[in-house]
Amino acid sequence: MRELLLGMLRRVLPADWASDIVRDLEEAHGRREREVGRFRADLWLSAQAFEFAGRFGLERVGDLFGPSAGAGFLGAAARDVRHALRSLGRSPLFLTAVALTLAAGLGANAAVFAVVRNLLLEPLPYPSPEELVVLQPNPWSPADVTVGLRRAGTGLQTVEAFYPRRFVVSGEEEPWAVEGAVVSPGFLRTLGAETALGRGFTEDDGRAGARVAILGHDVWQRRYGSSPHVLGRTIRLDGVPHAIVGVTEADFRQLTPGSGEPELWTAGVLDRLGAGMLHAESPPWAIPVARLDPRAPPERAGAALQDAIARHLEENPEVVETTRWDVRWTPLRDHLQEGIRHPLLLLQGAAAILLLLACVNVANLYLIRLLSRRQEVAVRATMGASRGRLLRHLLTESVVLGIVGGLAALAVMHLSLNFILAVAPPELTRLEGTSIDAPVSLIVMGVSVGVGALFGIAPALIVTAGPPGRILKERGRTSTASRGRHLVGQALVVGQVTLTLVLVVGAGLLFRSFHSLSGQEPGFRTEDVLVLPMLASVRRYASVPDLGRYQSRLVARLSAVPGVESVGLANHVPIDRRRATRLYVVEGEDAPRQAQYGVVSAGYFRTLEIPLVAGRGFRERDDRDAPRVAVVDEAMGRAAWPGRDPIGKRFRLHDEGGWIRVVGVTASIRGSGLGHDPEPGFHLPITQRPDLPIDLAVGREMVLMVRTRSGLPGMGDALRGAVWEIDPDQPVPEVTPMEGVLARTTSPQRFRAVLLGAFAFVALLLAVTGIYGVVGYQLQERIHEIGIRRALGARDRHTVGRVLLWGLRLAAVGVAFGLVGVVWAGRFLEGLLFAVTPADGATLAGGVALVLAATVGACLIPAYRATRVDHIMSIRSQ
Amino acid sequence: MGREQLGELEHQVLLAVLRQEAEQAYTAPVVMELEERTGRSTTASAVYVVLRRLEEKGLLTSEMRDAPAGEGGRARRHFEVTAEGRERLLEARDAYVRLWEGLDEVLEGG
Repeated sequence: MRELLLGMLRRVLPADWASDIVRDLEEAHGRREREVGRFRADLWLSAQAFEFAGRFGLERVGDLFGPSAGAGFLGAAARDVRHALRSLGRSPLFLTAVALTLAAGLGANAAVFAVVRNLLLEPLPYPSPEELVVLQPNPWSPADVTVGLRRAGTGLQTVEAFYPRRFVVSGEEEPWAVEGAVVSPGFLRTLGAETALGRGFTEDDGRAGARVAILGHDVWQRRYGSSPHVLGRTIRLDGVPHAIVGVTEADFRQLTPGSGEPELWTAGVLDRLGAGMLHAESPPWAIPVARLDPRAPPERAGAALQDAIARHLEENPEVVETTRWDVRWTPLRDHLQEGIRHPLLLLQGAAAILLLLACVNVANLYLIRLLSRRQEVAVRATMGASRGRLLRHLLTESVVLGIVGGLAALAVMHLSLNFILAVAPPELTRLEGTSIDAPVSLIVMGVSVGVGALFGIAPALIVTAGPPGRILKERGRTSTASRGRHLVGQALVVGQVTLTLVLVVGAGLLFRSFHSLSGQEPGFRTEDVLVLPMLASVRRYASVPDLGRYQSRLVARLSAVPGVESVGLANHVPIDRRRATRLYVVEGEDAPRQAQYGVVSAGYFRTLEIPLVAGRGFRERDDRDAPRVAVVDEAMGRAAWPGRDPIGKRFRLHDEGGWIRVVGVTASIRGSGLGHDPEPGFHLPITQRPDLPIDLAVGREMVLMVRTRSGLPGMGDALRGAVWEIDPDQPVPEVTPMEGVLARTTSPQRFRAVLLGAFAFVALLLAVTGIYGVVGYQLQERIHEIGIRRALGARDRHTVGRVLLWGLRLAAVGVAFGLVGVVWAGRFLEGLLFAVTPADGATLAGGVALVLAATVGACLIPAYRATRVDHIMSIRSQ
Repeated sequence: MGREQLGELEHQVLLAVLRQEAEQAYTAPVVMELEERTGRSTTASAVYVVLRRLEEKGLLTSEMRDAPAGEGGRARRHFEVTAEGRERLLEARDAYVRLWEGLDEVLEGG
């Protein structure tokens, strides 16, 4: 630390003196270290270093415009700059206050704007992106309807579709999983994807039996080392051999809302519904994507779609119940921004309010400073300086200040962006591409200088107005002109309080919302439960029975670890926004329904303390030779067998044949997230999983959930150790408490709350600074009045009381306006709140209390100083 | 007069340097002298800046000197007021004296 600071100093200080100063500081630091310890010595050194750097830095810049600079305009400007630097250097507090204010307002804004620009404003990386549309809401079943739109006159150039899914790639060493998509042959071409290697899909690739795949550029680099020999190679996707025919270009991405961009594509048959989801050929649904025909009127596509739907319903009346028909073409851009546009714009709005606050604060600070320099300006005026010259001086100061503020803002901008990226929820993967480029930096500097000039002009005009003689005689007395100036200062403070209240209440609402959301009961136990996701090796466990035995041994060994109360195994984490769903058909019905599903061990329900409300859970007896059973939850029971007992009823999976009997009913859990109501779901026993090729075996990707006794440290290591006793090569990448898993599901809400909270905090600081400045200044002006009161017997507490009252009156006006602002702004928060309304009384009251408390705090120091006023001196200050 | 007047801190620093004996006329003692005599705390960086400015104006000279034997520490920069510096100090003092003439009663009286 010491070396770093001193090294920096050496560079900033003038060469001939640098070594002296550094040496002296080093010695002094050493002495201090012995006296008061390392930490405080370092603090002192930092302060000294900045002071030296600041002073010599300013001197250096001032020397550039040295006294030797010529006469004329340039010379005058140079002198003005030197003078401004000297003057600013004498008021370091003012300089810091303005620089920090500008930095906070501008820097935060620029960072948020960079994010908004990246996620909302940047055009999509596809040719003619405005022509791309998606069918919403999706996914959608009857692919044949949309394929039928591939005709002239439908307002569309082309209709494609894709079906996103995860593939397990095998055939090499350990299998690996990749996010991918089954697409119609023209899909990639429609998005303008070029191949860096090989070819794209052709219509032939789209027929059944042709199994070809295209790799994403990143995957090609990561997994195949960018080898050109990858073409023609065969890989197994979910056990089915595919030939690699192409690699996309480096900059192609198939954007998706949220995470999970596909990196591998296979060509599929999309014009018939077909056998199960496990086969890449005929997925049960698809997401249609189309390109509008720019020559057709915009409504044509929508009308053609409705016609096609109507025709389909006529021909297939029984499908009316099972599919959503209120679909329409939506611009791809809107689809991608769904769910993030609103909160991002909200954040940008909050940042804009912060900027406004910063500008008000800067105006305030300028006004106060210039007003207290009235005397100095008047003296210079009487000594012959023209008004124009004075204005030029003052303006130069403002511009220089703007430059300093702009530099500080650039630093804050980078810090803010890093902060935003750090707290952002993991789904916002596109956030990583956000960067700050030269244009943004230039704009920030430009705005800072502009604000500096703008807020320098008005006070400068005020201060230089009027004959200087009058100003000199004005001391201590209030006049109409000075009362006018007082009003401006007061108005600015009222404005600050208003804006601050809006931000504080907004942040408060988001925090309460997040708090309520986190407090929602998920429906299962989260305390003292550790989660271990693992992937079983295909080499060592090459068949489903092998895998089953391995898993039984794992569960048994983990249960024997001291402190463990129960172990459950499942193929999923109980709460996950992308929970897997299956289509099922109730016995006696034809139409498929949808439910969340999971495959679990016998100990699962007991471990997570999911209550069984009827029947039984799974037993060891429910194995591959026994009849197939399932445990459903209450929501599914109500949906599939309304008003009847689900126990004993049967259903089958939509893409499989055998009947499954319901043997138990559990309470519902919030499988999709804390903010969602419980959805219908069922569980199947892991001992009855189908006999599939091991790559695809259900539960090869497994999650072990272990409930322990409370408060035991070091359980994570003990559990890992137990796993490695069974299989020393089993990677156990993480051991997370269930609470952590739950917290991840609320990270978007936390992101919003934290960010807005940060804005509100800065706003409060700015407001406190503003109030402090105005109250302090007003007190100085009224020192005469205070002195008289005290001479007449006013006690300290009266004086303090008057000051506080004065500040609170101002704040009260600001609060009144602020409440109006809160009500108006509440509309924008509507969709983001959970269990709390924008007009929530408690939050409003809390916000008002906080702002008033800040006001009191800001008035305390001026109030204290007022009590120190010597009445004789103040009366004589006439 | 036609040339710049001495600033207040420049005036004080020159006086403080003058008060030091030859071996003690380096930065740290000058800062301490200032603080003791004026009763106000002074920041080292301000004094450095002023010392440098005074040297540029020719009112001070400086040279590196080894620490005296037996005192330890490294070589330090020592300052000395030049003839021109002394002349300016006298001018400044005279100006103050003339301005102050007769004002004592005004200040101490009522």
